[in-house]
Amino acid sequence: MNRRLISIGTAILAVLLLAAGVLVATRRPSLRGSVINPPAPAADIKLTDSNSQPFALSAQRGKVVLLYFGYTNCPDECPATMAKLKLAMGTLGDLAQNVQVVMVTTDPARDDPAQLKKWLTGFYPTFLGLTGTADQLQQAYNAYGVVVENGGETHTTYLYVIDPKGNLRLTMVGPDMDPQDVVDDVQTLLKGY
Amino acid sequence: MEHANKSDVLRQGVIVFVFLALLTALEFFVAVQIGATVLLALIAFVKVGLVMYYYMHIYRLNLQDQDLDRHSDQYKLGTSRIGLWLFLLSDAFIFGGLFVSRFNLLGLGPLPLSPDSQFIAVTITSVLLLSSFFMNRAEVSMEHGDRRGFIVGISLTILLGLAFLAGVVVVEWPSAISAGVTPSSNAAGAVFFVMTGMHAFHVLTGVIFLSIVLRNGSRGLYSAEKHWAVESAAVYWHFVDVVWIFFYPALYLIGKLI
Amino acid sequence: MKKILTSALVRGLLWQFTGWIVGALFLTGIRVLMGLNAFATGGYFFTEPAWVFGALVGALSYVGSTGAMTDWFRWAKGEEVPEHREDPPGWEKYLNVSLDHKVIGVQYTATALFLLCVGGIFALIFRTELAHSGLQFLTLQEYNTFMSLHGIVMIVGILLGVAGLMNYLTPMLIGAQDMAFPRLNAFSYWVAPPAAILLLSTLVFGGFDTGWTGYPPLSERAPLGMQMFFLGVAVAGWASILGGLNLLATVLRMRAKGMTAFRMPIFVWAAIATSLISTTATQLIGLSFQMVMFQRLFGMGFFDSDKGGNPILFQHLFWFYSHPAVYVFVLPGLGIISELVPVFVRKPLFGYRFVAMSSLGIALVGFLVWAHHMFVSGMNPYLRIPFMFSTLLVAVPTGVKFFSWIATIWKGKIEMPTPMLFVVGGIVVFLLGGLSGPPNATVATDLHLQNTYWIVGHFHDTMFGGYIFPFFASIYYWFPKVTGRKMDERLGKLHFWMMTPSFLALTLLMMRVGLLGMRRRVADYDPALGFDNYHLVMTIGAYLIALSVLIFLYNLVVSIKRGEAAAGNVWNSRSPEWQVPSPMPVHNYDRPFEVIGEPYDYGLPGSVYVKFDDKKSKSH
Repeated sequence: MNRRLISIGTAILAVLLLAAGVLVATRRPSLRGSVINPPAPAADIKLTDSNSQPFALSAQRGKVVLLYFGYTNCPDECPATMAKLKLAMGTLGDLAQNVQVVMVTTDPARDDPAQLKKWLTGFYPTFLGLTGTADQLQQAYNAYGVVVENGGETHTTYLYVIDPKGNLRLTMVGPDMDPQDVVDDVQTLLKGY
Repeated sequence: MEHANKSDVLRQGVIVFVFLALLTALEFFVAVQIGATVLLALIAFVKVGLVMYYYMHIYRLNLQDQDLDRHSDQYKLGTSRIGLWLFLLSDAFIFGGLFVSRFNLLGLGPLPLSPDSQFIAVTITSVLLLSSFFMNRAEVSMEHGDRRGFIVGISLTILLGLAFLAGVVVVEWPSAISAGVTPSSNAAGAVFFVMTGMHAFHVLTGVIFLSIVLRNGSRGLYSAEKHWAVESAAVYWHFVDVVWIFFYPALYLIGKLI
Repeated sequence: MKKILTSALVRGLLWQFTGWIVGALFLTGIRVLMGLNAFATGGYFFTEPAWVFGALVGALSYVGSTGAMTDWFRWAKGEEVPEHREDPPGWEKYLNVSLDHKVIGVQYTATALFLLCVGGIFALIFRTELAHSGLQFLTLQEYNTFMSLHGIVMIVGILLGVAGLMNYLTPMLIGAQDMAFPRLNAFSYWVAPPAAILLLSTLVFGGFDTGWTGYPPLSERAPLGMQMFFLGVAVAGWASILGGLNLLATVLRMRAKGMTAFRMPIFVWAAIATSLISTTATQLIGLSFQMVMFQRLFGMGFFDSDKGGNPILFQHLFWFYSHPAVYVFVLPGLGIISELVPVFVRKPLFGYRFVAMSSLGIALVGFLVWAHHMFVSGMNPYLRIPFMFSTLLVAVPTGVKFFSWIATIWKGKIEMPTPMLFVVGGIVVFLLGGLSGPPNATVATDLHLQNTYWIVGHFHDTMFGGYIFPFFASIYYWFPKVTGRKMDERLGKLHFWMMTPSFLALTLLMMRVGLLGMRRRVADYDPALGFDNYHLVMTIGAYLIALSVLIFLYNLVVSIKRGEAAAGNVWNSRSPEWQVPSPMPVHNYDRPFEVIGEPYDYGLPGSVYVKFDDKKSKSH
């Protein structure tokens, strides 16, 4: 009697273990943001950063870049997005040094490097702002399909997530996203998925 | 099965316990590594199947006693078994309602409990599983007329049951409250406290039932032939364990992918 | 008089009241120690948790003091408990704890009649208010309370009546001495009176204005009476759950020799179907009500959208019981109809197996239809479609029953004593209720009919046709079995001919004003709608029904002592209980019987259903 129990039990256990094993071997972590499939190389952006240094997106390999388009006089969406990113950076702890948050201004008339720096570092010390000439900026907007109207006050509010290999992987809706989702996805991308 | 020798039946209890422990470990691994809800459900059903068959003897409901005298003790025993299982079926609907409410309100997401909760939950789950094991030993001992083994087994079951209760009420609840999950904080808190609370209430009634059976048993009121009180207490106790087999993943494991 | 005052019924009432106050004081004391508010500011002296805790203690005290649990306590102490307990002769056994299923059946039925009358009086009160537009003598809160109480008191009354029929009849019909668990049976009955007291106590605690459905968020804010309503239903639920469990075990285990599944009386099949529902689904109404109680007491946010709760969840849990509950109400009644029709037309029941399975079919499909009450609730619209189809599916097994009755009556030698009158009345009224059902089940029409008097008319037709008419029929029919005397035929016919037309006028007009736009559950309506005369007629109809019930009650009371003696097989039935003299002996059959034929082969020469074994006499 007991021998039968042991053999049947072991068989069931083996099947379950096998199922678990197969799932582990073939697992793909699920990403919370909207996935770009297949991942495409992110278009390069060459602008001036808020420390008045030249900035190239292609120089950020090895980091997850969270790219956003906004402006410092923004009353609602941009500060909401930055506040959520600040929370996410806090939760990430040590991993935060492998994350670069970048905001490209949509309002170059009012956002000079100093203004960008003052506003962004108010959220988190490593947040960077980018600005440039109207042409350079328009090129960047076009590369990411960003629409800017009304002197920069109306703009697309997507957050673009670029993985350490420089591929555009995800988009999220900046003001509506859950900081925990950002944390989860950044962790996943940093693991190399 | 009734005529198998005692050490065989006891060994069977050990084997079932080992499988249950392995399955629980597997369950935990699946939850944190794969997060496959379907697999978690499957494992829970296997565990419940083991408990219901080997510890609760559900096959005893397949009564072949239509020819017995209606007034004989054995026929009445069969009727009592049916009554008990109908009661468990009815009770299962309360827990089913709570289970459904949890998924309706919180989806497949995790409960926002404190990080300690994971450890506490594994511990109390093991305690309850172990108590079921000793309950089985107590019942098997009584079936073979070993009163000493019965008293030892049932006493350990009661102690482990009390430890489980303390784990839930004295350790886990304050830990949840310190993490900001209180009955009135939000739907997750309400679900957590009503599920653990309703289950703890059943554990409490089970402990009281077992204590009565222990007292009467140590006074020699039960025998190998006549011990329906022991059997019903055991089946009820395992039922409470079965409920926890579903509640544990629903409360702690689902959505806990690391 | 002294016997009444010392009976379990009265003793329980005193204990319940005392327990209530003591429990409230106890919790108030604990609150003082915890530094919480001891007394409510304005209102009912004690705080809400104290009243609720006290109410629970009171209900338990009632049951404990009656002695319904004494044997269990003695068992727990390890004492020997005798298998049987003999009742004293005379009427006082009906006021005390008895283990005899026949006594318990009568207790249930009497309690049910009492509650049905109370519920009827509530209906008359607010029906009078509705006779004319404008508010005459009720405030809005009073109207809502009476309307809600009418609903729940009637429902509990019906549940107890169903339990009464099943308890009294089932063991007799299957040839058992008693139910499988006589002590549990007594316990199930004795939790019902304190539950009824709890429900009626809502009148003292400010009433409740939610209707019997008690939907949050309204029920979260209703007066204290709401809690007593929730607790009362939860306690009454246990009577139903344990009663159903007991009945299932009885039918599974206690049948006479030779009584195979398809030789059981149809009523037993109906009782099984009913008990399956009440044993399982009832837990969910208890659960949903407890969740609202907890929400009120501890701020748990199950149904509070501010806290991430979901009010729709309540409706799902609630209707998962409360829709199958209507099958609990009507299935035994439909079983009674199938049971009596062959007796009075002297023909076999048409399609026995189909009728037997149709009860189970209705019960099982009944588990899958609950959300048809929620077509306008805001649940996912796509859910409407499957629930519409499952609901329409219920019409199939119900139709089977109608065809069977009609085919049975066809070319039969019809006799029309009072029970048969009520059976035929029940068939007609239930047909009206049934035919007005599919329009509500169909989403497109239900969106318009929902919450109108059309639904009220439909519902009352199903309840009267499926429960009230068969209930009266079975009282007239089995009264000789209980008392050894017949009820007066002339008064019975007067009862029928007074009640039926008034009832039809009442419900048909309800449907009419509903279609014209009369909303349900409202205390007042616009005179410009022109409903005043309809409502006046409906109110008169309601009073005529009440008058006919008074005639019935008079008939019942008088016939107990002075009815025509009827010890034999008054209806010339094949059923085993009529083969022994009335009233039924204490342990039912003094000699066992064996089932050797089909139950409903009326009119077939030489066919026998049960054969009594004259040689063997039962030993206890």
